Amino acid sequence: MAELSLEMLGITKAFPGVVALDNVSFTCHVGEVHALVGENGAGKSTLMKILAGVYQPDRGEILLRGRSIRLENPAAAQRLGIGIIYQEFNLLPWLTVAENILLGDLPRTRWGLVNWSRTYEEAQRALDRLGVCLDLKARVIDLSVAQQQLVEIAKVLSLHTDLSVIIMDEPSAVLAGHELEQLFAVIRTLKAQGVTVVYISHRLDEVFEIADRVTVLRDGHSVGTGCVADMDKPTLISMMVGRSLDETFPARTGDVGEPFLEVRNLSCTQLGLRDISFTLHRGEILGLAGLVGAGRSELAMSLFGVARIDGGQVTLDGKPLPLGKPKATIDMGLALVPEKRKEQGLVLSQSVRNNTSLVILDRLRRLVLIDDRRERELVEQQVRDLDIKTPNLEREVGYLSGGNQQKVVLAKWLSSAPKLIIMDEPTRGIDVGAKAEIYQLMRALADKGTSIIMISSELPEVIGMSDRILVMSRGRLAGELDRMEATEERILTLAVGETLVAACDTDDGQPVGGEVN
Amino acid sequence: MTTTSVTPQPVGKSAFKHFLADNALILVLYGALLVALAALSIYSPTFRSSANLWTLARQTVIPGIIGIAQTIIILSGGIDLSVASLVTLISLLCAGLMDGKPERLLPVVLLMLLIGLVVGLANGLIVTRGRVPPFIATLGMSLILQGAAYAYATVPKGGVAPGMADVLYYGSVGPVPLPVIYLVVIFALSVLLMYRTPFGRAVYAVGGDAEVARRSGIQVGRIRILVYCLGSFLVALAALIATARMGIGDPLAGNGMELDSITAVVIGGTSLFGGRGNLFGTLAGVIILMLINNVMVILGVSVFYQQLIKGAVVLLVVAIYKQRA
Repeated sequence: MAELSLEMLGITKAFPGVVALDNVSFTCHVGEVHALVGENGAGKSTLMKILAGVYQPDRGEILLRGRSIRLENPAAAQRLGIGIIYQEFNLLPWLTVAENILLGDLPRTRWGLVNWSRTYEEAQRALDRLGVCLDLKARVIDLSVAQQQLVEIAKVLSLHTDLSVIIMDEPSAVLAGHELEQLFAVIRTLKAQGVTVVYISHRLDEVFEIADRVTVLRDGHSVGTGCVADMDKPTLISMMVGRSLDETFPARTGDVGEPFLEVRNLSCTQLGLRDISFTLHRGEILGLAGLVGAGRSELAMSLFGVARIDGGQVTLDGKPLPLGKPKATIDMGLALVPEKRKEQGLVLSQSVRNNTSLVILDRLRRLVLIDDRRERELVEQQVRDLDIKTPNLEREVGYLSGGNQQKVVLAKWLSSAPKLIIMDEPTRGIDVGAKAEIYQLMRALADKGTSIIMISSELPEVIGMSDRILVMSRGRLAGELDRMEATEERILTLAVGETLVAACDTDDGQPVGGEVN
Repeated sequence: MTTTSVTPQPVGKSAFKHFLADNALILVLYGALLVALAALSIYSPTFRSSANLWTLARQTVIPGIIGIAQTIIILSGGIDLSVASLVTLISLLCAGLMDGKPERLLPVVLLMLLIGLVVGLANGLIVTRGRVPPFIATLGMSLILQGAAYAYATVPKGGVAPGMADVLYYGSVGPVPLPVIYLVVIFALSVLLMYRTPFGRAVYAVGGDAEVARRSGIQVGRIRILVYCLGSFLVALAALIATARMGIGDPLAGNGMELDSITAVVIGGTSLFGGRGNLFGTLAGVIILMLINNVMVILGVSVFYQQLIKGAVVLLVVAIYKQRA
């Protein structure tokens, strides 16, 4: 019988108007990777924030190695050796790796100045414990996201002399391909040192790969805990959603139409895009696969007009697409649902209504004023169609959940009735139920003749949704696959192609040009 | 495509509650203002005299118009530190060039409004094309305008044409002072502009998140430039009213107006980071600052204490806002 590390027993936590956790129990062993899964709003974050000392439970007990503990604030959790890696990193971009790792407690000389030699020594020790190699004097802003994540983990290690539990909240959301492997290697290293890793993720494949056991939360209740080895994906999904969910992707009903978008020899040195040519048909869903940094988002940005290009021609429905001007592009019927919805998709301080109508303000105008009634009807229609859960239209979108925020971004672009939608990671960080809804929606749009370019790092999604798949590698198109012939192996082979060497280089901690995003 | 369909919660009590919740800050602000007015009226016969109240309203006009300008600029994610120098420059130039001659009234007034537009355009271009942060851009502009004003005159100069004083400041319709009518009209138009036109929505979007705005097809640079033009135009209008009030060009005409206007905006609950806030709050802020002045004058308190109390009010109000959030 494995030794118990962390026990959370009968935890209940209510917020005004909602019981976030109802008598939830969660138990981990020493040296175990324990996955915590559940849809958005299931209570994962609340449970972890209680563990991090951010929230206080209304009822329940927490034990660490058999001893009852109280976590009245984050400092208390820190003292007890409980660390947390949030989705948003807490790093100071202009400081060095070493400074960031030891930020809370820089070693000092007896004169009260920073003791640099000890700083580097201790930072190095933290990195060694993770089994990774980074340049201690590099500024964090120059690192790739994956490397920044390693700094964040090293920081947690150095903060807790005796780290017993580390919580990782969606650590893979920012990673892809080879980077994920490195994270898993780090997790295994920590595990070997007897650290309990709580791994929160939406991606079930990862859970099956890295976790020993998994606990499922649903609507603030714990549905169950089990060994990963005894489970399969459908079981887990049905535990999460409380119903068995048809995981198959909605099939196309008709044929694709005539060519719609023609891209010829598109290049952009600044974004690292080289000589890209392809055709997109009416009503077609074109998947764009590749590793992070392969240039997929950059291609989307240059088509949409956010970035300037150096050469090449793009025509939409036979007419040249004005590049470099988002407004003109939008007027021609393009929409870009961005990867980072908070930074690029939504004005968080504005209401659902104002965000949804932002793209079509000019179309809603009657003489000089916005037609209030038409705007309201249109937004209400979108809220209904997409099933956006919001108390009213005037709610600031910053207060909505991630899935609902993503739906508002979709609503905003759908309201402009686009002829071509580029969706960059449309289901990232979204729960299983909302994902299925978005797939249905994409297929319905395509069936109505809308062309879609979908960028995704989740291969099953790319293969399941796309009519045709383009694979990018280092700023070039590495190949094209038909829906029928696409397999994960084929896509990966094309995607990795020449970057295989570069991927190995990053393991030595040397940032590789063009790979850093 | 969905299994359940949830409509946004409809009308009735809950919608009213949401309205209260969404506008709590403004409602509290106006509530406090009403209480203060009532209390002052009960305790001070001087205060409640209609002459004093109309004077108060008249005095609100200039800071009110500048407050509107500052609010729109701050909502767009900018700030304007050049308003005070612009008021001083226009005061001196207007009275100096007009020099009491009626035939020069119209051309000089138009020239002053044009100067306002040009200064706004310059601010906007420096911020957008020059990529200078608004704080620094308008700080530099403030020094330039101040320098220009003092190069022109360092002592009171010239005089306004007969009639200008009445039309812009001292005249009234019945008991209502003309400038108060101007303020109400400008305020109403600004409210329509900010909440009911694509331009206004774009200003909020640009201030809330410029990158998102750009990706939504909003021409961010153009909006910013227009905002500074509109702002400086309004400030020029306020400066003309201020000149009419003084009757001469006053080298101290604008003194302190940049900070007073920002103070009013802050009391009104508008975020200095842009994208959040509204004109109603600013109006309350302006009136609150006016009330403090007025009461202090009635009580015969020194001007230094006025500043002290204003400062305390700002800190108190902002601290209260932060607690709520």
